[in-house]
Amino acid sequence: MMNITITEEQDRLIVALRGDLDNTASSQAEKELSPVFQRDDCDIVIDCRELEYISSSGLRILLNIYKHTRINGRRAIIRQMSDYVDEVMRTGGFLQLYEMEK
Amino acid sequence: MIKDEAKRLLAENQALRLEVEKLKDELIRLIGHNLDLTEQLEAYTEIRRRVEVARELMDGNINRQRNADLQDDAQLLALIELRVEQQRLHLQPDFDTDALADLIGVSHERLTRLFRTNTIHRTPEAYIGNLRVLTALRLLREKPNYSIAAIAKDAGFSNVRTLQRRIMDTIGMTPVEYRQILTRDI
Repeated sequence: MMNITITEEQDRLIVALRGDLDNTASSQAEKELSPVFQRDDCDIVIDCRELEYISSSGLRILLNIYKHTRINGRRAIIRQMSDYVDEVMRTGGFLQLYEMEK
Repeated sequence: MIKDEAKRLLAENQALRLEVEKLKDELIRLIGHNLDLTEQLEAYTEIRRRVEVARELMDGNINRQRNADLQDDAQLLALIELRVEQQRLHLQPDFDTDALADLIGVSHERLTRLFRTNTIHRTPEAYIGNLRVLTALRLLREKPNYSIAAIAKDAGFSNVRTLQRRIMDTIGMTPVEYRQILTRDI
Protein backbone atom coordinates (compact mmCIF):
# COMPACT_ATOMS: atom_id res chain seq x y z
CA MET A 1 0.00 0.00 0.00
CA MET A 2 1.21 3.46 -0.93
CA ASN A 3 0.01 6.78 0.35
CA ILE A 4 1.16 10.24 -0.75
CA THR A 5 0.36 13.61 0.75
CA ILE A 6 1.52 16.94 -0.63
CA THR A 7 1.55 19.99 1.62
CA GLU A 8 2.99 23.48 1.27
CA GLU A 9 5.24 25.03 3.85
CA GLN A 10 6.49 28.59 3.09
CA ASP A 11 8.43 28.24 -0.17
CA ARG A 12 8.63 24.47 0.08
CA LEU A 13 6.46 21.66 -1.20
CA ILE A 14 6.52 18.73 1.22
CA VAL A 15 5.88 15.36 -0.42
CA ALA A 16 5.32 12.64 2.22
CA LEU A 17 5.65 9.07 0.93
CA ARG A 18 4.20 6.29 3.07
CA GLY A 19 4.30 2.51 2.66
CA ASP A 20 5.71 0.67 -0.35
CA LEU A 21 6.63 2.57 -3.50
CA ASP A 22 6.92 -0.62 -5.57
CA ASN A 23 6.48 -1.18 -9.30
CA THR A 24 2.71 -1.64 -8.92
CA ALA A 25 2.28 1.55 -6.88
CA SER A 26 4.55 3.66 -9.09
CA SER A 27 2.12 4.43 -11.92
CA GLN A 28 -0.49 5.60 -9.41
CA ALA A 29 2.21 7.58 -7.55
CA GLU A 30 3.24 9.28 -10.80
CA LYS A 31 -0.35 10.50 -11.31
CA GLU A 32 -0.64 11.71 -7.72
CA LEU A 33 2.66 13.56 -8.01
CA SER A 34 1.74 15.42 -11.21
CA PRO A 35 0.97 18.67 -9.26
CA VAL A 36 4.62 18.67 -8.13
CA PHE A 37 5.77 18.94 -11.74
CA GLN A 38 3.52 21.94 -12.29
CA ARG A 39 5.29 23.96 -9.60
CA ASP A 40 8.50 25.77 -10.49
CA ASP A 41 8.50 28.27 -7.68
CA CYS A 42 9.44 26.18 -4.69
CA ASP A 43 11.93 23.72 -3.28
CA ILE A 44 10.73 20.14 -2.99
CA VAL A 45 11.17 18.12 0.18
CA ILE A 46 10.62 14.36 -0.05
CA ASP A 47 9.62 13.15 3.40
CA CYS A 48 10.62 9.47 3.61
CA ARG A 49 9.96 8.98 7.33
CA GLU A 50 7.25 6.38 6.64
CA LEU A 51 8.54 5.05 3.33
CA GLU A 52 9.23 1.36 3.83
CA TYR A 53 10.22 0.16 0.37
CA ILE A 54 11.24 1.76 -2.91
CA SER A 55 11.69 -0.04 -6.24
CA SER A 56 13.55 1.02 -9.38
CA SER A 57 10.42 2.66 -10.80
CA GLY A 58 10.01 4.57 -7.52
CA LEU A 59 13.62 5.75 -7.79
CA ARG A 60 12.92 6.89 -11.34
CA ILE A 61 10.16 9.16 -10.02
CA LEU A 62 12.62 10.67 -7.53
CA LEU A 63 15.13 11.18 -10.35
CA ASN A 64 12.49 13.02 -12.39
CA ILE A 65 11.60 15.21 -9.41
CA TYR A 66 15.27 16.06 -8.98
CA LYS A 67 15.61 16.95 -12.69
CA HIS A 68 12.54 19.17 -12.40
CA THR A 69 13.95 21.15 -9.46
CA ARG A 70 17.32 21.43 -11.16
CA ILE A 71 15.84 22.91 -14.35
CA ASN A 72 14.00 25.47 -12.20
CA GLY A 73 17.05 26.28 -10.09
CA ARG A 74 15.32 25.02 -6.93
CA ARG A 75 16.52 22.66 -4.21
CA ALA A 76 15.61 19.00 -3.90
CA ILE A 77 15.75 17.68 -0.36
CA ILE A 78 15.24 14.29 1.23
CA ARG A 79 14.04 14.23 4.81
CA GLN A 80 14.40 11.27 7.17
CA MET A 81 14.77 7.78 5.82
CA SER A 82 14.69 4.27 7.24
CA ASP A 83 18.00 2.39 7.13
CA TYR A 84 16.75 0.30 4.21
CA VAL A 85 15.66 3.29 2.10
CA ASP A 86 18.89 5.09 3.05
CA GLU A 87 20.91 2.17 1.70
CA VAL A 88 18.93 2.01 -1.56
CA MET A 89 19.31 5.77 -2.11
CA ARG A 90 23.00 5.68 -1.28
CA THR A 91 23.68 2.74 -3.60
CA GLY A 92 21.67 4.36 -6.36
CA GLY A 93 23.68 7.61 -6.14
CA PHE A 94 20.70 9.69 -5.01
CA LEU A 95 22.40 11.06 -1.93
CA GLN A 96 24.84 12.87 -4.24
CA LEU A 97 21.93 14.64 -5.95
CA TYR A 98 19.44 15.34 -3.17
CA GLU A 99 20.33 17.40 -0.13
CA MET A 100 19.77 15.68 3.18
CA GLU A 101 17.71 17.05 6.01
CA LYS A 102 17.28 15.36 9.39
CA MET B 1 46.73 43.45 -7.67
CA ILE B 2 44.06 42.36 -5.18
CA LYS B 3 41.43 43.09 -7.79
CA ASP B 4 43.21 40.85 -10.26
CA GLU B 5 43.44 38.11 -7.69
CA ALA B 6 39.73 38.44 -6.89
CA LYS B 7 38.94 38.31 -10.59
CA ARG B 8 41.05 35.21 -11.02
CA LEU B 9 39.38 33.53 -8.02
CA LEU B 10 35.96 34.42 -9.34
CA ALA B 11 36.79 32.94 -12.72
CA GLU B 12 38.16 29.85 -11.06
CA ASN B 13 35.01 29.60 -8.93
CA GLN B 14 32.87 29.95 -12.03
CA ALA B 15 34.84 27.24 -13.84
CA LEU B 16 34.49 24.92 -10.84
CA ARG B 17 30.75 25.53 -10.67
CA LEU B 18 30.46 24.64 -14.35
CA GLU B 19 32.50 21.53 -13.73
CA VAL B 20 30.21 20.52 -10.83
CA GLU B 21 27.15 21.04 -13.03
CA LYS B 22 28.69 18.91 -15.77
CA LEU B 23 29.46 16.16 -13.25
CA LYS B 24 25.89 16.34 -11.97
CA ASP B 25 24.58 15.96 -15.51
CA GLU B 26 26.78 12.94 -15.95
CA LEU B 27 25.63 11.52 -12.60
CA ILE B 28 21.98 11.97 -13.59
CA ARG B 29 22.67 10.20 -16.87
CA LEU B 30 24.42 7.32 -15.07
CA ILE B 31 21.66 6.95 -12.48
CA GLY B 32 19.07 6.87 -15.28
CA HIS B 33 21.11 4.26 -17.12
CA ASN B 34 21.44 2.22 -13.92
CA LEU B 35 17.65 2.32 -13.49
CA ASP B 36 17.17 1.23 -17.13
CA LEU B 37 19.43 -1.77 -16.51
CA THR B 38 17.69 -2.63 -13.23
CA GLU B 39 14.30 -2.54 -14.95
CA GLN B 40 15.61 -4.72 -17.80
CA LEU B 41 16.91 -7.19 -15.23
CA GLU B 42 13.56 -7.18 -13.42
CA ALA B 43 11.74 -7.77 -16.74
CA TYR B 44 14.14 -10.60 -17.58
CA THR B 45 13.60 -12.20 -14.13
CA GLU B 46 9.84 -11.90 -14.63
CA ILE B 47 10.07 -13.60 -18.04
CA ARG B 48 12.12 -16.43 -16.50
CA ARG B 49 9.51 -16.83 -13.74
CA ARG B 50 6.73 -16.99 -16.32
CA VAL B 51 8.63 -19.58 -18.35
CA GLU B 52 8.99 -21.69 -15.17
CA VAL B 53 5.24 -21.42 -14.47
CA ALA B 54 4.42 -22.32 -18.09
CA ARG B 55 6.74 -25.33 -17.90
CA GLU B 56 5.07 -26.53 -14.68
CA LEU B 57 1.63 -26.13 -16.25
CA MET B 58 2.81 -28.06 -19.31
CA ASP B 59 4.16 -30.91 -17.16
CA GLY B 60 0.85 -30.99 -15.26
CA ASN B 61 -1.08 -31.19 -18.53
CA ILE B 62 1.12 -34.01 -19.82
CA ASN B 63 0.39 -35.98 -16.63
CA ARG B 64 -3.34 -35.29 -16.87
CA GLN B 65 -3.26 -36.39 -20.51
CA ARG B 66 -1.47 -39.58 -19.50
CA ASN B 67 -4.14 -40.34 -16.89
CA ALA B 68 -6.93 -39.41 -19.28
CA ASP B 69 -5.84 -42.36 -21.40
CA LEU B 70 -6.85 -44.57 -18.47
CA GLN B 71 -10.42 -43.38 -18.20
CA ASP B 72 -11.71 -46.82 -19.16
CA ASP B 73 -12.85 -48.55 -15.93
CA ALA B 74 -11.60 -52.02 -16.86
CA GLN B 75 -8.18 -50.62 -17.73
CA LEU B 76 -8.01 -48.74 -14.45
CA LEU B 77 -8.97 -51.78 -12.39
CA ALA B 78 -6.42 -53.91 -14.21
CA LEU B 79 -3.79 -51.29 -13.50
CA ILE B 80 -4.76 -51.19 -9.80
CA GLU B 81 -4.54 -54.97 -9.47
CA LEU B 82 -1.23 -55.02 -11.29
CA ARG B 83 0.37 -52.26 -9.22
CA VAL B 84 -1.06 -53.17 -5.78
CA GLU B 85 -0.89 -56.93 -5.90
CA GLN B 86 2.46 -57.22 -7.69
CA GLN B 87 4.14 -54.71 -5.40
CA ARG B 88 2.17 -56.05 -2.39
CA LEU B 89 1.35 -52.50 -1.35
CA HIS B 90 -1.51 -53.69 0.90
CA LEU B 91 1.10 -55.05 3.29
CA GLN B 92 1.90 -51.48 4.30
CA PRO B 93 -0.50 -50.47 7.13
CA ASP B 94 -0.69 -46.85 5.88
CA PHE B 95 -1.68 -47.82 2.34
CA ASP B 96 -5.20 -46.39 2.01
CA THR B 97 -7.63 -44.93 -0.54
CA ASP B 98 -5.67 -41.67 -0.87
CA ALA B 99 -2.40 -43.55 -1.40
CA LEU B 100 -4.08 -45.72 -4.05
CA ALA B 101 -5.55 -42.65 -5.80
CA ASP B 102 -2.10 -41.02 -5.84
CA LEU B 103 -0.50 -44.18 -7.14
CA ILE B 104 -2.90 -44.49 -10.07
CA GLY B 105 -3.12 -40.75 -10.70
CA VAL B 106 -6.89 -40.31 -10.30
CA SER B 107 -8.98 -38.38 -7.81
CA HIS B 108 -10.31 -39.89 -4.58
CA GLU B 109 -13.86 -39.49 -5.96
CA ARG B 110 -13.05 -41.18 -9.26
CA LEU B 111 -11.53 -44.14 -7.40
CA THR B 112 -14.50 -44.47 -5.04
CA ARG B 113 -16.92 -44.38 -8.00
CA LEU B 114 -14.86 -46.96 -9.87
CA PHE B 115 -15.07 -49.45 -6.98
CA ARG B 116 -18.75 -48.76 -6.27
CA THR B 117 -19.83 -49.53 -9.83
CA ASN B 118 -17.37 -52.22 -10.86
CA THR B 119 -16.36 -54.42 -7.94
CA ILE B 120 -17.86 -56.66 -5.33
CA HIS B 121 -15.79 -54.85 -2.73
CA ARG B 122 -17.75 -51.62 -3.26
CA THR B 123 -14.99 -49.46 -1.73
CA PRO B 124 -11.20 -49.20 -2.13
CA GLU B 125 -10.86 -49.72 1.66
CA ALA B 126 -12.74 -53.03 1.41
CA TYR B 127 -10.56 -54.12 -1.52
CA ILE B 128 -7.34 -53.37 0.39
CA GLY B 129 -8.78 -54.95 3.57
CA ASN B 130 -9.72 -58.09 1.65
CA LEU B 131 -6.17 -58.46 0.32
CA ARG B 132 -4.91 -58.21 3.91
CA VAL B 133 -7.38 -60.86 5.12
CA LEU B 134 -6.32 -63.22 2.30
CA THR B 135 -2.67 -62.66 3.22
CA ALA B 136 -3.40 -63.28 6.91
CA LEU B 137 -5.31 -66.52 6.15
CA ARG B 138 -2.42 -67.73 3.99
CA LEU B 139 0.08 -66.94 6.76
CA LEU B 140 -2.13 -68.72 9.34
CA ARG B 141 -2.01 -71.80 7.12
CA GLU B 142 1.63 -71.64 6.07
CA LYS B 143 3.30 -70.34 9.24
CA PRO B 144 1.91 -72.28 12.21
CA ASN B 145 4.71 -70.93 14.43
CA TYR B 146 3.96 -67.26 13.78
CA SER B 147 2.13 -65.43 16.57
CA ILE B 148 -1.16 -63.69 15.74
CA ALA B 149 0.57 -60.35 16.37
CA ALA B 150 3.33 -61.20 13.88
CA ILE B 151 0.74 -62.21 11.28
CA ALA B 152 -1.23 -59.00 11.83
CA LYS B 153 1.96 -57.01 11.28
CA ASP B 154 3.08 -58.95 8.20
CA ALA B 155 -0.36 -58.79 6.59
CA GLY B 156 -0.51 -55.00 6.89
CA PHE B 157 -3.02 -54.69 9.78
CA SER B 158 -2.42 -51.78 12.10
CA ASN B 159 -3.19 -53.97 15.16
CA VAL B 160 -4.26 -57.46 16.29
CA ARG B 161 -7.83 -56.40 17.12
CA THR B 162 -8.46 -55.27 13.54
CA LEU B 163 -7.06 -58.55 12.23
CA GLN B 164 -9.31 -60.56 14.57
CA ARG B 165 -12.39 -58.55 13.65
CA ARG B 166 -11.76 -58.78 9.91
CA ILE B 167 -11.11 -62.55 10.00
CA MET B 168 -14.27 -63.04 12.08
CA ASP B 169 -16.27 -60.95 9.59
CA THR B 170 -14.91 -62.90 6.64
CA ILE B 171 -14.91 -66.55 7.79
CA GLY B 172 -16.98 -66.44 10.99
CA MET B 173 -14.26 -67.59 13.34
CA THR B 174 -11.20 -66.23 15.13
CA PRO B 175 -7.66 -66.67 13.75
CA VAL B 176 -6.92 -69.17 16.54
CA GLU B 177 -10.04 -71.23 15.74
CA TYR B 178 -9.10 -71.19 12.04
CA ARG B 179 -5.66 -72.52 12.90
CA GLN B 180 -7.13 -75.24 15.16
CA ILE B 181 -9.43 -76.45 12.36
CA LEU B 182 -6.48 -76.66 9.99
CA THR B 183 -4.44 -78.66 12.52
CA ARG B 184 -7.37 -81.02 13.16
CA ASP B 185 -7.82 -81.60 9.44
CA ILE B 186 -4.16 -82.52 9.06
